[in-house]
Amino acid sequence: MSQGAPSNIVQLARLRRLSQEHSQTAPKPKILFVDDEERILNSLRALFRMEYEVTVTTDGYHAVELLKRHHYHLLVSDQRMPIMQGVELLRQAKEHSPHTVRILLTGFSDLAAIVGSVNEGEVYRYICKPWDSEELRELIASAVKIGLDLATLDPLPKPELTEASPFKPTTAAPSLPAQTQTQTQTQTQTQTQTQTKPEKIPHEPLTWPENLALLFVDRELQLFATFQELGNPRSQVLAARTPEDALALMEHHEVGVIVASIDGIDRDNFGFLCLLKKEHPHVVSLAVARLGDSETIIDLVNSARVFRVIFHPLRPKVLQHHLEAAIKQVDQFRAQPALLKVQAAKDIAPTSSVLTNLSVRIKTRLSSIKSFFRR
Amino acid sequence: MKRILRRLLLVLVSVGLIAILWALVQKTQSIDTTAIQQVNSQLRELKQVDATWNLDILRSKMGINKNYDQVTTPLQWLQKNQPALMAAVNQADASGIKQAADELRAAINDKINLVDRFKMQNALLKNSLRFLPTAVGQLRDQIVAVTLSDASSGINNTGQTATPNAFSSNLTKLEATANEMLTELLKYNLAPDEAIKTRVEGLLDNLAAQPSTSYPEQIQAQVDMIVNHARTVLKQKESEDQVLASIEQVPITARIDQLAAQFEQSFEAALKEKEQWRIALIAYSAGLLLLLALAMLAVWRSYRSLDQANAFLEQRVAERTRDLSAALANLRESQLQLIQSEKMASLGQMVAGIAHEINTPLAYVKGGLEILSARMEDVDALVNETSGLMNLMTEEPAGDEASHEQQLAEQFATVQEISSAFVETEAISEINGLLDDGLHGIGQIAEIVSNLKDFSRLDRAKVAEFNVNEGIESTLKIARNIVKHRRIEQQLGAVPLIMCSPSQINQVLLNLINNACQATTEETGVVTIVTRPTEQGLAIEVKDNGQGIHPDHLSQIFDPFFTTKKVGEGTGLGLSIVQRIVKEHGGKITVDSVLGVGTCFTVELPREYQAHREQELSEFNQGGIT
Repeated sequence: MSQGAPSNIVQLARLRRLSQEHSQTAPKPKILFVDDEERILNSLRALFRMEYEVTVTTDGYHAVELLKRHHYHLLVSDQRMPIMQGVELLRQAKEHSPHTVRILLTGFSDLAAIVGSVNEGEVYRYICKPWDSEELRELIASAVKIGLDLATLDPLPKPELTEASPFKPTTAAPSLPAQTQTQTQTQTQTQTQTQTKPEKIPHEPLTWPENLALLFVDRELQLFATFQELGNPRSQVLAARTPEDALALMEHHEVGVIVASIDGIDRDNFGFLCLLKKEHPHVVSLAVARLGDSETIIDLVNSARVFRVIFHPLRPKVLQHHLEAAIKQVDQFRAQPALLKVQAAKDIAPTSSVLTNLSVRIKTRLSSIKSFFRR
Repeated sequence: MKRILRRLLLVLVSVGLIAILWALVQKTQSIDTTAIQQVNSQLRELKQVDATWNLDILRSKMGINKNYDQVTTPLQWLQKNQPALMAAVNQADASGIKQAADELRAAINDKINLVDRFKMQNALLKNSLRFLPTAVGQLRDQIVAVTLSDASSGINNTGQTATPNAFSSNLTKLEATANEMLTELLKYNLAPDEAIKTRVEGLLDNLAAQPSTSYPEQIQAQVDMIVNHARTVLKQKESEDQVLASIEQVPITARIDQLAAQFEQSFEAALKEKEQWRIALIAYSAGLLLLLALAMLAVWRSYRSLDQANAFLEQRVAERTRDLSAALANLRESQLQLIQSEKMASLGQMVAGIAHEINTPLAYVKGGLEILSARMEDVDALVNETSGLMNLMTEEPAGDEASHEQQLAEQFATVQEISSAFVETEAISEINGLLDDGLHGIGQIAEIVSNLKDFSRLDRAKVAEFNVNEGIESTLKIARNIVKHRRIEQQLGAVPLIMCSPSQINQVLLNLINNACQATTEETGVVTIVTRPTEQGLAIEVKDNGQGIHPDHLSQIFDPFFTTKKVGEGTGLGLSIVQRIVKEHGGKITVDSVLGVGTCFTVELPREYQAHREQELSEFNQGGIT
């Protein structure tokens, strides 16, 4: 029996009475479950109806309507549904109700769905059916908690408006001696650059916040090379071959976005991202994967809380697109640090192979990283 | 063209060579030895005839022959044999023969003329010779008569005669002379001799000489006649001898010999020519044989080289065959592996779908059971607390009354709280609902498992009577994960049961239905499955209203590895395997597609399963799902 989640029927009944008595002052958190199988919904409702105000629907469009009309702290959706796919629902939910925590609960580990849920739905967790009631209860509890926190925030500006984010660096970043991999753009952002672009892209050239570094971590510096193809970025760009190198750089530079290759010879980066997220959830991470292994991607979502998963071969335009989204995310984190709660990563077992070597090597150094949030 | 010309040339040369050979053979065969033999025998015969003729002439001369018939017989012979001989002569083109023949003919003609003269003279001679004895006889008679008349009528005559004795002696002398002359003449006739002739002529002169006393008129006339005849005999005899000499001199035998020699010469010449031709023929034949031998040598050589080439080729072929067999074996193996991997891929896809199908009921059954487990604890607590309350109520208070009362009240409150919690939270109805859902979920799983069994039919005979409509139903259930987002229209006709491998036919159906679903979108997709009986068996149509197949691709869709799907999404073997299965069942599969309208696959299957395909099928199944 877990400490927070009551399961005894007497306690449940008390809880119920309590919430009924204080329905005005302390309403129960609201959860929306969406699944095409009614019996799944029955089971979930039975599990959570005591503690939460549970709403269920089998129709994605109906769910979107509900999200528009009411505020839900948590949305749990299936992926494979006939009327509207889970990814689409999550994407629309992010748009219409950005402060609702999103969880994908599915029995089908469809790679496209997983990646879609990450990149488009920006889910908090990806959970496989069949679930373990206790684990699910705990997870839902933590998610609801985040949801409740988020609910206290001002409504996020619409994605279209984030472009004109009022974010400005308040403090002048210490100008450090530029390292070999660092390119510092000191010119004003208003200066129009004549970049030779092979193809027309709908969005403007990358606008990079000052004093915020972009870090590429891969053994062969392929990612960095791809980035350079985009032209001359007005930002601090760092490149590291190993997590240790990355940490060394991060001690002197405030890194906002980290792009890391996570498989092959860069296996260590996976654990690095996990550990980094634990200590520094504000760092937005983009994972570049070679293999289409759904298990790994699920771990990336749940344990490393990666912001985006990108598959090889990495194209410059694709990278730019994701980097722009990452910058907006950084802006949002700075504007509303409470959002960082959503970045809470799932604990990974200390014995997990991705950590064993790495953790010893870098754990102590993680605390010395330069951070906006520390100052 | 060149080859034809060469062949033509070869044929012409062969014909020419054979013609020359034939001509040579003709030349050597044209001499007819019988002709020359015939001519020779005729000439010999002619010689014989001539000899006989001469004899006959002599016989006639001697008077042995009464008439001259014998003398004319050679003419008959000549009449009979001359044409043949002349023909032989004419046939011979040698001028010598002709000349010799002409000379012979002239000689014969001379002889004939001479013989005619001989005949005439001989006749005169014989006539005179026959008359003379008679005339001499008549003279004697006349002399006798005269003598007698003198003796009787001497007076009559005495006057005129000197002496009657002188007169009669003269007459007697005359008679003797005549007789002598006759004898000598006959002698001369038989053996002509000048001495005899002279004597005869002397005697004749005696006879003719006028006696001193004239003879009676009668006798004188007789004597004169005798003398004339005798002189005629002498003359004729001489002339006859001359004629005979001429006859003897006619060189018939020589001419014959000449002709024969000419013939012989000509024959010899012909023979010689023939010999020359023969030598030429032999030489020619030898040449031909040599040519033939050379040709055979060439042929033999070419055969030998051909043999060597053949042997080499056979070796190469054997090597190639070995290589090809190995390659084929490799290919078969890799094909089997590919088929296997395609099967595994489609199996994996199917398994994933089924896993999802099972996963959903599994998830809510598990969730429900976990809740039920928690509720069971509450039930357990309720039962425990209730039995505790019962005990308190029934047992005698052990301690003091008040504490027992309080204990009872507390226990009662506990039980009440639990039971009211059950009521408040509607736990019982919830439990019932969860139980219902759980049973439903288990039922679902059971159904899926049963469908799997129906579909795979691994527990059934490999080849069995099969209702295709049932196969479609079980396939649709298996493919529920794929088809549940499409509208499936079934138009299943009253089709006969067919002998087939049900698991393979199900595989075909699954593949076609899967393709049809993938070709359509979730919103608008309609997949129509039609079965209908046909003459041979039945036909299955799987239609969709998807994007259709590009006409350029239509001919390739059954090719192995042909796929329009992305790499990793399809092996391109699905339809190839489908086609193979259908063909192995003796059926056929056709496709009809219009871009933007849809595609229809039609599978026709015969009622009976071809037994001879059993082998292939079992081979095929060796790579099958095990």
